[in-house]
Amino acid sequence: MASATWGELLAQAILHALVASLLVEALVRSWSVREPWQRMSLRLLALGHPLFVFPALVVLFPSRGGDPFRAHLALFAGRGWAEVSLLGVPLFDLWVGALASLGVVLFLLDAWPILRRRRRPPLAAAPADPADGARLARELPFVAARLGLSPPPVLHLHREGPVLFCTGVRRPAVVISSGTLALLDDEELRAALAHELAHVARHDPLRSWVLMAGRALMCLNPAFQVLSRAVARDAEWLADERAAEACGDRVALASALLKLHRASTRPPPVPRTLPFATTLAEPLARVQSLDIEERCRRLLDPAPAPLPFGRVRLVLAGTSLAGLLFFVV
Amino acid sequence: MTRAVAAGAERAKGTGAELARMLGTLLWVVGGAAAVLAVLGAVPGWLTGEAGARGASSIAEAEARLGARILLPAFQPARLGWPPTEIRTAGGRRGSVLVGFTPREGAPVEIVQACEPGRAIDAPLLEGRNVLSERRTLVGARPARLATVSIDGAVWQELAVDVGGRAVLLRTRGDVDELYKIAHSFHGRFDDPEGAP
Repeated sequence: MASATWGELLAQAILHALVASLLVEALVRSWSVREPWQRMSLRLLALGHPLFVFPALVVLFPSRGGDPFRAHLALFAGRGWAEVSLLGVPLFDLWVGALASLGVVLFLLDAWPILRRRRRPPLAAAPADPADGARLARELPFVAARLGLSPPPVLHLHREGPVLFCTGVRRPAVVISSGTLALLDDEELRAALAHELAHVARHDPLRSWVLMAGRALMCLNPAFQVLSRAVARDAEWLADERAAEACGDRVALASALLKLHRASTRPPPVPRTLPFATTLAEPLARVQSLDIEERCRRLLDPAPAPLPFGRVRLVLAGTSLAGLLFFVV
Repeated sequence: MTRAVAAGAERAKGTGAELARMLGTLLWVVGGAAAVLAVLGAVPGWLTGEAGARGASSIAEAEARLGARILLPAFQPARLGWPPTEIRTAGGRRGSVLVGFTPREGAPVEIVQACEPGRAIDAPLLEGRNVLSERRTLVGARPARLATVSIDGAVWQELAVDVGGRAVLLRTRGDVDELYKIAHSFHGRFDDPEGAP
């Protein structure tokens, strides 16, 4: 009785993540799930499948790897594609190789900038101008109080470019540049700070590292990589919603987002000389612009209400997913 | 009071409708996914033509394709030689296989078998076969059938036996005794009082 090989297990893990993510996306759309936390929960369910449920299925039900299961019970058996060849290469090997390569590329697209950034010297914080310092001292405690936090430390950068993010796993801090302070008015600054503090309140820096570790573990799995990006986007939307709720001005946050995005995507002052230098950069910038556009649209609408039976939906989706993927080998 | 009851009934109706919509959508999405997976799982079979017979270059390749061990007799007349001159499979995973020997001298022999207990030999391996006559016989103490068949105009003697629940046909165009010896030798399975391996 032939049991599953490592290649087949990899193929199964890729396929399970693919089916899980497609099924969850279909549910998100057909149930019209708009509330970011509910969207994120459903996507985390799909993300957890290849990490936890699939290994459990392999360990608890070894008979799934056997021929009788493949022949009589499996809805889809990846090994069947080994019988179909293209130019002498089994299609099974081709699609596993292609998907695994795609997974590595998607992982490196996000991991490479992080690795490069770690080589640079740490951020050089400097005291803010008195006027900027006064604005921050006024807005930050107000927003932190609205989110039930003590105000985190602020690292101020003397830069013209817009910089605003939160950092630190154990000791979170907000990094802001003088360019950002000059760009945003008081309402927009309050909303933008609320967005960053919403990340801090949810321990998003820590969560993002956990997610990155999962992506590294699943670096051959393209569906996992795409889904992780979707979850990261949901985290942004969730922070938007919390921020809008805390500062009570959705339009100010949308305006701040637009201003910061426009300022950060101005064309570089020195034109690139290599013919294909912008081949990858332009589509990525376009995707980022579309994402900002979507976030702004959402902020112009009223806050989305959570769907009823949220937990029931989650349990049903998880059970259906596990049940369906039990028969995919 | 009546207004409160009406409002409660309205709420319950709304809740029921929402629940029904949720479950209906879930069933639709999961059912659709299952159907797509089933079709994708069946495509390799359609592409490789499970409906027909496919040649294999070795026993190992045929076994990998079938996902099952091929039964081979312990006794094989030396004149037949090794490896087999023809190997054909049909029916996809756990389907059927034909192993043929065409020696330079003497009559050819073929072993046709289903790879799963209780399953009939797949039709593509029996194409062009017409039974001319058939009678019951015994291989050792086991019941068997001996038939004279015509395959594409040539007359063969065919011994049908059961090995561990698997249907096996042994064919020759020569000596029938040789078929009985081969049938006897299927790894001693016929001597096993319990029968099935």
